[in-house]
Amino acid sequence: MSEMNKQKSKSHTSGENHTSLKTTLIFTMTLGVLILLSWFAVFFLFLERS
Amino acid sequence: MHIHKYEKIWLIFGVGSLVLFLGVIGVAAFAFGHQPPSHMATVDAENLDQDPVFSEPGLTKIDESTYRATLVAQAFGYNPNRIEVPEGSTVLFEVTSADVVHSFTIPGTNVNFMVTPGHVNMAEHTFNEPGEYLVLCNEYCGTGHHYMSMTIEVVPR
Amino acid sequence: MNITNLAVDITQQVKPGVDPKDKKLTIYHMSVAFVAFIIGVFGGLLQGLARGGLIPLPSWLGYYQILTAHGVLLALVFTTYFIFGFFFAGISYTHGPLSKGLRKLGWTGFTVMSIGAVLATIMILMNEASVLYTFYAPLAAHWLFYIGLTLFVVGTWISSGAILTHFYRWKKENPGERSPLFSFMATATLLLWIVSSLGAAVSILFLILPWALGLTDSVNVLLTRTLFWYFGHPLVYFWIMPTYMVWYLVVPKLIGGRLFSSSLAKLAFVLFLLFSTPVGFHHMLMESGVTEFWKFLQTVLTFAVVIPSLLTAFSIFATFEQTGREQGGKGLFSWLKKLPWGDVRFFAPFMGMMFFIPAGIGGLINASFSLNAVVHNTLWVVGHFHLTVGTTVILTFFGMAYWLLPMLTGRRFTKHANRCGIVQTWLWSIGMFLMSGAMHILGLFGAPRRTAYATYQDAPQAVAWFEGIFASHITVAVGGVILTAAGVLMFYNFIYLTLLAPKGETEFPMTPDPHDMKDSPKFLENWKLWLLITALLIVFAYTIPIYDMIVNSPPGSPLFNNLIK
Ligand code: HEM
Ligand SMILES: [Cu+2]
Ligand SMILES: [Cu+2]
Repeated sequence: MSEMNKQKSKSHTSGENHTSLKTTLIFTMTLGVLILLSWFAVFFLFLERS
Repeated sequence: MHIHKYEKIWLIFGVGSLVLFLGVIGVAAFAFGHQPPSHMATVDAENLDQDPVFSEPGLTKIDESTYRATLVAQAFGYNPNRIEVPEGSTVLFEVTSADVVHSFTIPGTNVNFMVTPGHVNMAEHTFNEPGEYLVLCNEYCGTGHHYMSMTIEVVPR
Repeated sequence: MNITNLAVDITQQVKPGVDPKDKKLTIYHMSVAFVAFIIGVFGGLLQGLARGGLIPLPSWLGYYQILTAHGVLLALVFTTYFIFGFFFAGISYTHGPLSKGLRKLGWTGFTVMSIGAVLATIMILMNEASVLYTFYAPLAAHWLFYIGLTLFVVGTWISSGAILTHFYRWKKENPGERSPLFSFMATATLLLWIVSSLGAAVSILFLILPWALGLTDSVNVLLTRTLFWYFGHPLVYFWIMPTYMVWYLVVPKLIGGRLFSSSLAKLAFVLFLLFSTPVGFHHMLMESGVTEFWKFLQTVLTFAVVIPSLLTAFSIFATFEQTGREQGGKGLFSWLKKLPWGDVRFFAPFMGMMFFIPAGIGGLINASFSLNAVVHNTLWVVGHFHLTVGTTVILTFFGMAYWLLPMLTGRRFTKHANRCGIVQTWLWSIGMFLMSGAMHILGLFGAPRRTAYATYQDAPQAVAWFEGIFASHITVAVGGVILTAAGVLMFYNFIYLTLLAPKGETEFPMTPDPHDMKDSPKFLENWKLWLLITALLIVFAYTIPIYDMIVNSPPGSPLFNNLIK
């Protein structure tokens, strides 16, 4: 029960934007770059083979 | 509905990438002809021997460096099972099936399409390197599927 | 602590959990799932070893027979039973015990599904149905195999009816209230399943079965393929959506945090429902009889269904970061240490998420129209879906099994089980890295999928597929052996958690609904609207090409049942 309360009060104080999501931005951007690189790698393989 | 600022950035980046990919393949396809094989002609698969084209499958020369190869896929091989063209030739493959679904696939090239009974499918390839090219079937067609192959011999000019 | 807070906590604590009678229904589903799983795993082992040329198969067991069993048991049976088990437990937890009538309906669904699954499996074992799980015409299985598949699907409809009705009754009793996330997401998933499996049912009942029975003497091959993929792509979202449910609803609880937006989560699931079905042509990009225009249109729609996954990637990672920081984590990366890495209930789904990065990228490449020529029907594709369903989905489901099984059987999730789970997760990840990694590269070199050991009369290109350092059928086989060890360990975990672990209580780790629940837009709950748009999109994407397939069809194909034996 105390466990539950702890969680509750924490999330009350932490509306969005209060905590930083910097790492999330970096993670998603890295993911985005990875998507672009992989996709174009296969695209150039395709062009090279045709 | 509240969206975090970073999430907006990510969505713009992500959706932007998707649009970019669609743009690239769209332009490649509709402006430069890199279309997926989508031929619409049909044949009578059970009576290919009466078909004007597929009754006598084989290689025909169109001009100095262009050939047309009509082939029939049938469990578990192709007819003819070997063709020979000079280096640098462009070959237009027209393939149909006499029984079940097969594929016509030349590993290492973009020639890789389904061969559905009743339909004709096509692709074109220019063979710039001499050598023996393996053609195989990569659509499961029965117990002997893994034996189904043919060769294209590209001879030096 | 003030009084109201206390009251809330007490009601949460006395929440009955899952009714024992509903637990029983779930445990039956889970048991079938795990039996199917372990048989399927040994099938996979044999395939890996046989393809690598490391063992010959006995004369009474065909490669394609095993492959059919592997595909049916893992991709259809294991996943479906697991998902329905999860849904029955979750809906009972969320809205209270099923009524007597609905529970009976659930058991009816289970029984019909099981008769179908057993029938189909028997036909495969008798070598009367080596047509692979896609059952492409005009290769033909024994008609009983198709009856089995039909019963299986009908059973899922009955079970879906039970779950949806239970939720619908709650909705009627609580007008104006926002649906809990669990039931919202389960509803989207089941509606998608019903809409899409109708395609498979139409194909089997009206085209394939009459033909297999000899009532009609030919079948429209292209139409059956189209209807299969009308079903086949949503099928993968039917696996992914419950997976995302665990990520959205369970993982936040396990890491001691909570989900922060219900609207975006609901939106993601609505988008899945809308865009998962009108995209089947991305599996038929290399096929004649469908024009470039319709293929491209469905490619665009396919890319639209990536958007909810982009949303999910952000939401889940943000939940991690938020929780890590709330627990005092600082810096760019050191908050990561706050996550419960030692808890397999978190760790297994987390590894699943990591594998979803290459899996998702691979999927984008597959769907990219003419680029599909590079990978179509090659081992790349097999590598791809062993990452998606074979790792992301399955590791998430395993992560679920560690708490769901002991909760169902009144046992405790012990340290021992946790340790076995961590080892299991690592073994599976390593095995899959080897197997799937090698498959991806072999595929780029053109090695075909669904093909027994073959060197094509020692064609140099084909021989090279056995000789690469990493990119080799041998690596695939080695990965398969490690995966099999992981599979056996998981089966042990299943036995341990259902039969051997000490008695006790295990909680259903469901995160409370987010604070913005009450503000989540009302229109998101308008299922009639979503179904209508789904139907319109399907009609838009499929009517003209299907009309064309019927009107301009070549003469149909007779039965080819001789080629599979
Ligand atoms: C021990 C673990 C596993 C091993 C060693 C394994 C191995 C393989 C291999 C070698 C193939 C391809 C054979 C070919 O194309 O010739 C294959 C196909 C397949 N596997 Fe697995 N697999 C495993 C687990 C799984 C799991 C967990 C799933 C899904 C939940 C799965 C689903 C499939 C499907 C759907 C196919 C395609 C069947 C077809 O082409 O008809 N596999 N597997
Ligand atoms: Cu074939
Ligand atoms: Cu798909």
